[in-house]
Amino acid sequence: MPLATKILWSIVGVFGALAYGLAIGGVIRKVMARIQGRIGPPVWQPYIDLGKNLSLRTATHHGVMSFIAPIFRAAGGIGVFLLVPVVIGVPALENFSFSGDLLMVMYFIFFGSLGMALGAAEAGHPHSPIGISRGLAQMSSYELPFALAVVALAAQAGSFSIREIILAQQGGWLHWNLFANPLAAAAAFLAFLGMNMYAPFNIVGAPQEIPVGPPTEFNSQFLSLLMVGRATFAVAKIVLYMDLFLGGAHSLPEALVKTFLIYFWSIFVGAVFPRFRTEQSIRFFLGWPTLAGIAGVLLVIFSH
Amino acid sequence: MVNPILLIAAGLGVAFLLPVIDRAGRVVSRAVHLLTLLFGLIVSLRWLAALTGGAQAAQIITGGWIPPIGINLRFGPLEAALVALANLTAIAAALYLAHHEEQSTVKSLVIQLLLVVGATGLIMTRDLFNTFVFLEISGIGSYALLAFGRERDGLEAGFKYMALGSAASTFFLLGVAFLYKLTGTLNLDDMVGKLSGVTVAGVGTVLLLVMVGLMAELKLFPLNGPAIDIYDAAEPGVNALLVGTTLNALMFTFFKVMALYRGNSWLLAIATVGMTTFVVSNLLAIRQKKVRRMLGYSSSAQMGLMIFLLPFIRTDVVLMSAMALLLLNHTLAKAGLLWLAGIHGGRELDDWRGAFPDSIAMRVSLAALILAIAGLPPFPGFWGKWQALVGLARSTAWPWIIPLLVGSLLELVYYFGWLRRIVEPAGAESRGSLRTAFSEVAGVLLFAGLAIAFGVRLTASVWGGLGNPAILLGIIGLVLVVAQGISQKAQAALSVLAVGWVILRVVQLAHGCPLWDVRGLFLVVALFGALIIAIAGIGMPAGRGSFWGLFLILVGSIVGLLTSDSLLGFFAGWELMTWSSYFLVSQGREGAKPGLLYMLFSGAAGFLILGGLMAAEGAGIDSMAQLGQLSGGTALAAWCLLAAGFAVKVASWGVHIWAPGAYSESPDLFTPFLSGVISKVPVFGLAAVAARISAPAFAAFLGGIEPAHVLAWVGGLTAFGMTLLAVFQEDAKRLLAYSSVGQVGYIVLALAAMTPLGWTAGLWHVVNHLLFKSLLFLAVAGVVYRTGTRRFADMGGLITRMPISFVSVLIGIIALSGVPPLSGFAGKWLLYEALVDRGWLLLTGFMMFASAVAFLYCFRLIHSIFLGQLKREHREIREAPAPLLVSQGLLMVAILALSVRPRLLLEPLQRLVTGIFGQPGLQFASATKITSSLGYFNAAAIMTLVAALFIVLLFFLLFAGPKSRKVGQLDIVYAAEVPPPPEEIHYAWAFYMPYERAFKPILGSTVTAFWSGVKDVTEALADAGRRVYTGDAQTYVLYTLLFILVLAGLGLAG
Repeated sequence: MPLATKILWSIVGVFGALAYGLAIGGVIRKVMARIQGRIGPPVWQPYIDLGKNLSLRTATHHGVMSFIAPIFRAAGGIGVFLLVPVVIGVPALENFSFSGDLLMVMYFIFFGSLGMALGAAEAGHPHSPIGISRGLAQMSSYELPFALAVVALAAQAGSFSIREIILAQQGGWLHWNLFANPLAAAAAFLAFLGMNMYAPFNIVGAPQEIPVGPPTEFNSQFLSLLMVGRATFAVAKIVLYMDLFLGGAHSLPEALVKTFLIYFWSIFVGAVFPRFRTEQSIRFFLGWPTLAGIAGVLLVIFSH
Repeated sequence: MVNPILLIAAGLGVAFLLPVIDRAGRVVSRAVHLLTLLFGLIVSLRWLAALTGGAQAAQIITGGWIPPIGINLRFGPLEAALVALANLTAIAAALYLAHHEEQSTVKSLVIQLLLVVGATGLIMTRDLFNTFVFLEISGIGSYALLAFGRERDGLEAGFKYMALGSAASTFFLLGVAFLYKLTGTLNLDDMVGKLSGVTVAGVGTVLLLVMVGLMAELKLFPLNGPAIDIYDAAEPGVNALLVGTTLNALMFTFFKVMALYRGNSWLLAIATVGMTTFVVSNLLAIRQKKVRRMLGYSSSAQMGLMIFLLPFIRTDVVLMSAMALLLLNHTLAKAGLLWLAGIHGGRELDDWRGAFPDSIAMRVSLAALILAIAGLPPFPGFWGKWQALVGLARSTAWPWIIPLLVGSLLELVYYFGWLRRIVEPAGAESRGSLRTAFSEVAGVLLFAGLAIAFGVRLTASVWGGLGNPAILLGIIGLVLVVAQGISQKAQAALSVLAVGWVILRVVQLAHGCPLWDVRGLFLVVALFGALIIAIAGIGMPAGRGSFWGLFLILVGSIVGLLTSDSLLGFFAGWELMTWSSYFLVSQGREGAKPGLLYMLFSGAAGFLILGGLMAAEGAGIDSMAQLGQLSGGTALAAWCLLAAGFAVKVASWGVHIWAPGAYSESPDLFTPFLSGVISKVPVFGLAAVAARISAPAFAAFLGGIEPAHVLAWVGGLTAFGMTLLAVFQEDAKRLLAYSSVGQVGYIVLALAAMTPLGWTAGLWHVVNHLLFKSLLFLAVAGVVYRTGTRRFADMGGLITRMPISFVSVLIGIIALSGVPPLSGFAGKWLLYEALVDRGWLLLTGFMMFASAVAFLYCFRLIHSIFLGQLKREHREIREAPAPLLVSQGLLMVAILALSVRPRLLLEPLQRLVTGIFGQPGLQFASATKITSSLGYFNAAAIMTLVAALFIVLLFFLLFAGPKSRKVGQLDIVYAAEVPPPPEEIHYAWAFYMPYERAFKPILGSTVTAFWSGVKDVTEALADAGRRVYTGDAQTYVLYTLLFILVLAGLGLAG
């Protein structure tokens, strides 16, 4: 495929991911509202928010880093999405996954978080670094079960290439890693809860304790970019989980169904459980999820 | 040639005439005294030159009687050298003593001369009774000289000393008398022959008497109590004279009578007594608070070491030169230090804080002599010890190496404990100055100068001559250390030139031959790291006046270590590096104590390495290239000892406690070098050793456990543990210190994989860590220089004041954390692929975790310094000095180059690993895509992707939505309140409190507790040992009796 076509398809893909990501966000707010007995906002509320933010009359920032932080964030989200193959066998939807393997994706995830953290911190609001310190602490702890799961999968497939990992799961749903290595999958899906920062791991955003902070210090187009980043990143994550554990997708509808299910996993949990304190969530991730991850790795070692 | 007997005759004659000559004035008698000694020196030196040139040793027959009837004297090269040394010491001693009232009388001059005569006679005579005569002359001389002290303690000590000395010579005389009865001769050479024919049962007891006499004279443990009292009580200058004359002569006498002791049990007894003295005296010295007593213990220890070697000389001539070097070293260093102790006047160790604040010559002499006596290179003692160890390693006596190294480590403990006081910054109470006359310090300067000159010469002989860049750097460094009045910035500029010149030389040398072996890689790392520091030094002051001189010595030692192929050359460079970096660490404001800890752990690492090298030497291997010939248990021992030593030096978890202090308290400009270069030298050692000794082959020895796998876990544990500790630091340099140690843990882990990919990962990280960690430390150095603090809580918001430093830190942390698109990602990628490829899956998972934890401290570093609220007092602060920024710029350019084109380094690395493993670890699928057996990445493509996204989104920000406006720092949404001042809302203290809570169970300080336990036990042992010396003459008699019994048990057993 010529590079120009590739780039064109990528732009389409990014906008598709953005639309999907915003819609999913809307659905979740609706679902959560219904669980709590409220009517809730309409499903298309995130689109309205994005439009509203872009049409504000004033915009402020606190310096260079706070100016470019939203760029980092959005570039991080879009970049991760572009490195993950969405539909296997359709070159237009395999994105740029040939430029980097799973390790590249794992580390690209940090790109956006780092930029966001730098920008929020420059704004000088003390609650921003508090939120960041909680976020980083939680991030590092779910990274352990997630890393163990990734190592198990890579060793199982004999490759860090996402494409190879997908191909190793073909031949029926029982070949999916979800069933081929349920221990690694358990570790990764528990880590996923932390990654998504819904309850019980939502102290990072802590809407009650910290009524101000990152989102309030950013406004208008800055906040729009943050929303773009968040939405595309969310899609990138669920696509990655689909590729790693659910055998990837051979068509767009399949991808939509699988990713939606993956996302709903954290909604189910979040709707039921109350919030953990930071150290509680750290201990949680370093407990059962990590043991599951170790067991998953041992499973690979001893079954080979 | 002058007949050597004239040396004795002239001395005796002048000694008798001196009181008469003195009538003409003290100046005249002094001049005659000095001329006599000078005559002795010149004659013996000329003889030495002739004898080493191949002349026959002089045999002097006295009174016309042919031996064995008459007394004969011998004057060979050893004798000539010892006599020269005695005369030299006496000259320096006379100059020194002339300034001390009690010793400036003509009586003292006479006795000084008699001591030299006694020593000369002892050295030359081949007759046992004659030996006794000279023993008495020396003995009486020394009692008299010591008794000139008027203090009560001194007199008492002198009396006990005399009592012991008399008892010793009585034993000796009795022994000689019985020997005469048994063999009918007093001539030593004749007696050796006749003794073998004697079968009387009592011969052993007779020999025992002679030996006890000599050992008591030499003050071996536990007979050294009175001698140590003498060191404390008498004028140090007198003791210095005794070291150079009587003590050496006694040692040589012992050497001569060794021919009488044939049986193995005798040899074992002598070796045991010697080694016990060496270890115990060194142990007891570590709890000494008094400098002179400490020197006394040290003398006992050194004598013990030489006595220990005596029995082995017969089987190995290498040990002869070892002994000569040790003796020379001890004379120069101990005499010099004793004079220094006298000039300074401080009796307690604590009196020596910042000693000689206004005289660099005295400070350099003091430091050089302490290094010399501690057995460090380039001084003769180092080469002596090395040869002694090689001699032992190649014989069946190799187990003796263990106590020898333990004793040597103890020696480092107290000598560097002394140095710790000396290197502390000078205060109002600092003592010692050069106000005194030059002649008083002439001896010190002469002996220190000689020690250095011998040292340079010996080092040059191992490192390829004086023209070697390493030696030249060392010499330039030495000149800079001594040169006063050159500004620090000018010295830094000179250092830039010197290092630059070496880089050119190395490039020239490498022209046409493959530079890219492991050695070449580390050479590039070291020199580039040094250049960066020197450039930065033009902009800001570093440490104290001698910083740049020491720095060049350090760089020279690393170059020497890296370019030398012999094991000796490697180890000499290693030890030179250790002490020069010690001094640099100690130059920090609070650097003295962390410096000591650094030195002690480095010293222990050095002895472990030495042990490993000796395992190789024992197998007849003396170069790095031959290490591959080792096999079996020897290979295992060498590998384990070397790996353990290197693991200590990279501060692996468990032995890491020296690192945080050393890194953070070093001068700010030195820390980058410590982290970027010095921590890589053990990695080089590991690589050089591991490439040659095949570790997997050992698995059979250890029941299937691979030592490399153990090392990998050590590296991994270090990486994780240090990263975790870094998260909780409140001090920017301490944080980076823990981070550095952790990063080197990754390198060790990667190299331990022993696969092409693992080595690619490890060596890539060697370069990358140099770049980003030097960058971070330099940026922090600039911040500390401007703000005057290292504490996070005292900084904040500096991004607007120091934007370039901010960018440095930003690039540094991105390269450290492995976030694409910078060079760190390639490092992480290589590491994980290598580990999975090796099958070390759990380790891979934990390393990914450790890397995630590293984000925490990375963010903390940049946030607490540059982001958040700017303190009011920092509103006018300036950017770091330009040269510092230039250094950082060079590093950033290098990081960016490696980020866009990793092949720049990966390709040479593939050639390197192919040379070692026979196959590369990576393939280059296209110009920019890199693939391994497990994965791939395309650095240029990712860089393009990031850049494209960035530009598009930037345009979006600029042109979508309203025009944005910058608002002030306190213009924040603060819950409807007015924000308090910046100082109150900069969130920096206890940044990761929840994390600390979560990890509390595993954050205990068990490691620190363990090492302070080790310290306590050692000190308790030393304290208990010191109680041996009651000061009561009766106990000393008891010890003598016990000593004889033990010696009899050992010696007569055979």
